[in-house]
Amino acid sequence: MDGCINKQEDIDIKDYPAMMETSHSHVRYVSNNDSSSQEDEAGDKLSELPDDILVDIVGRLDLRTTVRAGAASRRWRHIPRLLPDLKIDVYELRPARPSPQSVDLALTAYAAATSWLLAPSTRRTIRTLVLSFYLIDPHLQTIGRAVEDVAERGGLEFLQFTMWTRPGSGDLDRDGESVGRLFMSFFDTYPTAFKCLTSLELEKIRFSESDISVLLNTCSKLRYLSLTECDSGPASHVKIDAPDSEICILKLQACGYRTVELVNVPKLAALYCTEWCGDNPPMRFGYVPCLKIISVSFACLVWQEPFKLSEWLPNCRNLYNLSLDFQDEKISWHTCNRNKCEDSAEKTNVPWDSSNFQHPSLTLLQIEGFAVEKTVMRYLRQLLCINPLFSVGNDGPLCHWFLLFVV
Amino acid sequence: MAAPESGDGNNGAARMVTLISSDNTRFEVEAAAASLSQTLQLTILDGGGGGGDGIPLPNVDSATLSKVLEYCIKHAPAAANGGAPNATAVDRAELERFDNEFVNIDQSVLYSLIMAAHNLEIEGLQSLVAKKVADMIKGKSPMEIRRTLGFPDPTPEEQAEMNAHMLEYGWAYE
Repeated sequence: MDGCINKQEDIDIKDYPAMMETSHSHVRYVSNNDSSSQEDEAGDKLSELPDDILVDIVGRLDLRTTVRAGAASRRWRHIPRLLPDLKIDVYELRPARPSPQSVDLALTAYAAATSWLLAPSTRRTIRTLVLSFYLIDPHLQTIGRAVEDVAERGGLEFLQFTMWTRPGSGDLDRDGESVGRLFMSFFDTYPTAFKCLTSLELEKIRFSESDISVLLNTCSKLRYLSLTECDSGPASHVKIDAPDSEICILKLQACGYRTVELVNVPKLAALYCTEWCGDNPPMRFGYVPCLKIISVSFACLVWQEPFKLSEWLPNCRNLYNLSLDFQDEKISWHTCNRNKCEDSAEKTNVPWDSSNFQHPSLTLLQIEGFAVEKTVMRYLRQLLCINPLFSVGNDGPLCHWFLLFVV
Repeated sequence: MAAPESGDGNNGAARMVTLISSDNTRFEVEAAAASLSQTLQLTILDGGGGGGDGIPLPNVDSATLSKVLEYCIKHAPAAANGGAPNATAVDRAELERFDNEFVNIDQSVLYSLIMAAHNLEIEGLQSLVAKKVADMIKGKSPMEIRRTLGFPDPTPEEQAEMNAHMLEYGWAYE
């Protein structure tokens, strides 16, 4: 019936290990001798519910109970592998007692769980798959093959990977490149899976210069990408030129890039960039016609070049939400209380010059983490004059100014 | 005769429909509440269930139907409000309290309710009862699941199968 799922006959019975006759008797279970006949009747009925109701029930369980539920009765046996929407999180499989082997044990269990739960069945099409796991060989290959098979069978509507690096391997200079190579080889080995990928979260990876553009151009359904503590080498620059990409949301958190140049990212709608310590301005905008939301937090440290907001954003004509967080760093005499640092005073690297700031769609401008002083207020007054839609009584979109001052 | 009955009340009186359980008990209920059932919704939109007609529900007995309608009547205002995006926290908390109490029932009723919610396609009630069963078995071993849900004692073969499963999938049992 479904042409995509004809690889293998339904495997419910023949390969299910619980079907094996066994004389092992690690009997932990004891018989239940005291149940009343009325309860028996209700229990009989509960064990005989139709598949779709059982799927609805089992789909609400945590990972471990899901697997155990399959052993509870013959009638329930195949249910875990009829689930159309699966979330498999390696954190759920961490051993109760932490040890140096915890990560490997968890990932071993994870690979087993994944390949078991994703096994093909003629009776289901997997629609949603949310996986989070460690980027560690060799289990990575087991996971990759299982997902590749799902992708090849078709019908997958949402696929998310969240990939963690091994705890303790956070030093990019020492480990970043090998993790980067491992990720890119994973990416190359399972092309069908990555073609279905809709959401990707990565951390602590050192990419080569073109990796991100290649990734975005190849993963044609990828709409969300989050990179935490990633870079392409010390003080590196990255250009993202991805004309074929569908990426809508890009998050860069504590990434070590000096600059990010968005050369061509046609569908990008929202850009979040936190804890920036590279050049000022933190990113350059080429062709980003859909960009509506920019949220950046950066300290504007004393060594960072001053820049003008108006010159920074000329290609972002559809902006309607701009949020800038200066992380309490300066402006003028301010002493920082959030970051517990005394900042060098009298800085001028946020020139409050509004002469060319024209964003007719802008409805929310949020600036925080700076001290109120005259130049800032003058700047805001100028903005109100220059952007006609900002003025009161206009038919344009309502403007909201959220100015969160730190004094 | 059916026309004035099934028409929307012009004077603010809510339109009523009649549902007939498998044991022939008649329940008169607001159309808005009964329409939480996807199965009944079309019939009601077509003007059915009004006046002396009534909609027969051969798979639902009166005890279960009365319970189902209790749920529908409570949830109808929020459902009419498009899932009540503007509902106050108090309203939401009250519905949550009602739901928790509503499924605090013994297993034979729970079973009938699951089947009725399923047959009548009442989405909220389907989720509520499925969640109730899931919460009952979360974190339990296969044998504990059997006991909790009152499954009959396992046969020796079933017992052996469970043991084998535990050996094979040790990680799920830690």
